[in-house]
Amino acid sequence: MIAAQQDIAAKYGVPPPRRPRGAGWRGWRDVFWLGVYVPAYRAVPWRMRSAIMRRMPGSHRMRWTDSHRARGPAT
Amino acid sequence: MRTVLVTQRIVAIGGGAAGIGAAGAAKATDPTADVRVYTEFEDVGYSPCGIPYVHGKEIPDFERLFLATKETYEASGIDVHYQTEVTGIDTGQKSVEVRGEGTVSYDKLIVCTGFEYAPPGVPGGDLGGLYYVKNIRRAMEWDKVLDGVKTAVVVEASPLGLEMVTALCHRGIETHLVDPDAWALAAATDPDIAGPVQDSWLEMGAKLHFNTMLTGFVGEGTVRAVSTSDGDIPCDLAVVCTKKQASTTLARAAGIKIGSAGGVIVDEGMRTTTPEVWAAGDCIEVPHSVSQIPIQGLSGSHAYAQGKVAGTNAAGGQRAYQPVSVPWGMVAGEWMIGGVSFSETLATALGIPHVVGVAEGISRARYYPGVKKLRVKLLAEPGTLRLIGAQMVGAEGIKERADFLAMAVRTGITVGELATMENVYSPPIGALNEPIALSAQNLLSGLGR
Repeated sequence: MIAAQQDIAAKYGVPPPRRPRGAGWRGWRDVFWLGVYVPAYRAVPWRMRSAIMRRMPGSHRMRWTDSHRARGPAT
Repeated sequence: MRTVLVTQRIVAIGGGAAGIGAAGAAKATDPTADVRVYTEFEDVGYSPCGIPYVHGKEIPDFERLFLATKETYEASGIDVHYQTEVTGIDTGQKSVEVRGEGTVSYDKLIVCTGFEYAPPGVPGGDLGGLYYVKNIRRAMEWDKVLDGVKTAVVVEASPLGLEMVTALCHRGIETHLVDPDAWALAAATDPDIAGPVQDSWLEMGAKLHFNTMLTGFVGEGTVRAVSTSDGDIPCDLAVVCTKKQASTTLARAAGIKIGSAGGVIVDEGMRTTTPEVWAAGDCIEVPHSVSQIPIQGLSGSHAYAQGKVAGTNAAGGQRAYQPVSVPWGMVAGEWMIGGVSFSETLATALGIPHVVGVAEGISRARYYPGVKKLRVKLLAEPGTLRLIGAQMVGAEGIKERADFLAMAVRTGITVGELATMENVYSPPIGALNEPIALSAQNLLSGLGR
């Protein structure tokens, strides 16, 4: 989310999220998430990421029927 | 005396929007059923969402938040057990353990255990003076406390946080907002949408501390300051508005399956993975209509509708719920903000491909008194140009547009269709050019179409 906020803040010319530091700095965990995980995540195409997420357990894997959308004249 | 043959016992755990919706629907579907609701609180059938507006004095008293009396539920045949805690579920024996009542059997069970605020996870979390907005009786007590509060800190710019900052400013309390993100409601909104809200808070006297980590609550017995990565903020009260987490302790202990978003797994009928057990409201997760990824922690209107589905089906009826596109809206500062589905920030964070169109329109005819600016941003899927998200900020007409755009997302309407939409033109209520259509047209122009 921090990486996305940096991109969006730059687009709209508003102050970006600060890199975590001081009391909020979580050391190498932040280095990993921002420096390794985000570039790796972004390198994977959305379709693949989406497919992985959809294979995780959850309500989305239960039965959900698309509501029927009527086409053509209503009368 | 007329005797009614009870056909089945339906037990709902939880008396919030989902639990009461479920009980009402169950009784309507099977009037002969013994429908029981167990709630740990003193009341059911009120609107907790109205609490910030009583604190802000927009609503004069808490009594107006009650939607029905206890007698109303009695008269409708719903047996509500107040201040009664359910401590366990035995799905094998089809019974619940109730404190003070012992083992109570059920034919159908509906789990509506709601949410809990995420723990702040910092020292001092057990101090007095930390207000978690949830229960109306506690809110009545806190409202009296607010009369003596000079300085308050709101922790996190969540939807509730936005409402509480606005309410406390209206109350004349010096209000600080502490949030780790770069702008308000940063997961759901974009900075161009949150910007006007933040400016209006500053005009109302609020002190905004974005990009600021909460590090502790300081005091002896009662909070006297909130510690942050940028120093201590002295205060009389801290309102903790952290993320809503599904309350699944009972369900999890009973072996009812929990999903990747942290909520109880349900299908379109609100059936859990356990026979004869349904679930609804903030304790469940449901699929998002665009991404098909499960999400959790929605609004009261979602919880109530889910409860209706669960109650109807538990009682033997047939009703289905739909994947959600999550229209939302609220008053924050002097503005209304709202949207549906993805913001630009969230779509970027998830890596969902999207194209964006933005337009600033007006809410009424340009010459009509009270006309306000209205900014509409649309997100569409590249290629198909199906609408996948929207964001808005204005002073009126946000809720109706969010509802409309949610249907547009659900039904797969494209930006091309929105660009040529028809719209109401009537000077007091609508301008010649609909801002949604202008935004769609700008999106198409940006693509050279």
